[in-house]
Amino acid sequence: MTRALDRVLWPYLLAATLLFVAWGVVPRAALFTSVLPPARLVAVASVVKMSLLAAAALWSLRARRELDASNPVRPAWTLLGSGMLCNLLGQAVLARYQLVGGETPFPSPADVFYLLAYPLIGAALLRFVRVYEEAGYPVGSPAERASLVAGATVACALLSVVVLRPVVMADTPALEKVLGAAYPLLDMALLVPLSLLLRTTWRMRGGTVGTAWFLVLSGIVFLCAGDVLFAYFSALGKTGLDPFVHAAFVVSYGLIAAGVRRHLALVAA
Amino acid sequence: MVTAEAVHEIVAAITPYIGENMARSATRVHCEKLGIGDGTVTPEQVDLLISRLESGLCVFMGREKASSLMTPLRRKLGATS
Repeated sequence: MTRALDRVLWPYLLAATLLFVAWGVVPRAALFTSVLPPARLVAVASVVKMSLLAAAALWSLRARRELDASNPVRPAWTLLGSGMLCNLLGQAVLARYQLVGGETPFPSPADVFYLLAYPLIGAALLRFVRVYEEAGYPVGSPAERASLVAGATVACALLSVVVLRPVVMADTPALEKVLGAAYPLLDMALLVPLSLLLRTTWRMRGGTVGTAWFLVLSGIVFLCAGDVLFAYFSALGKTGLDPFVHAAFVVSYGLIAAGVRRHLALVAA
Repeated sequence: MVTAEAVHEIVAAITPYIGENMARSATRVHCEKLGIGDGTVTPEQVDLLISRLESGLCVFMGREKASSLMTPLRRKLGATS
């Protein structure tokens, strides 16, 4: 089942990513001025993102359901599935504008769902780390973990300064400025539990679980990259770079969906 | 049974799921906790070791699948249960 899905998912993801990257690189190519003008491409991006988010959310919640009731990892899957569902709802709110060729508003009610996704995904990652530790997998000594968290925090803080500077300095309404800064900050916060989970799952490389986590965590990194690019480009007024933001989100949601599907294949008979 | 042989069989069985690195680390950690030395291992100790690793696999594949993976291994290594 996973192989059959992979045969569909990977070409779908590759084609969608190449489409948006090509749009960003050669926006004046005939394809993007006649057959697929920007408004249609934004609609395509919206549909692709919603399909991948729906897959990631449904597969996460199915992974939870397939596990026995007493399994301690079930709450983590609930949190991850709910986080992806929030992202799906956010995207669905934006789809109302994007599917009819309208201007995508920012801020909008979609931001409520997008912001809600962060604590859910962050809590999911922390829960996975705790459960793996309790299950007897070496997750590092408290000192090792503390230094990893400190290192990730410092790196994220430095990156935040670079990213947030144009966002804070931009001549935009207060709410837009606050939200523009909130996304990169929440992304950086998400990278801290991500680094803890990566430390454990990196040692599982070569195994099915290791591959599944590598995909999910890479997807979350692309999610952060997409948010950071969006905030940065918006603050600098570089709307011509939007295709790369779409590409980052498509890759992100696709990798998360592919990784979660591998986890589900382990559980499901 | 020689400990190294049992460990080799156990690591080989779980490597496809959690990778060789983690399979070896997890098995070594549980051997230390159970007081399994380098020399020989009793069927009871093999059973306990497999049970610990099975509990660990449950978080990835559920109890039923983890059990179906470890039951043939128990038989092969002559574990008590």
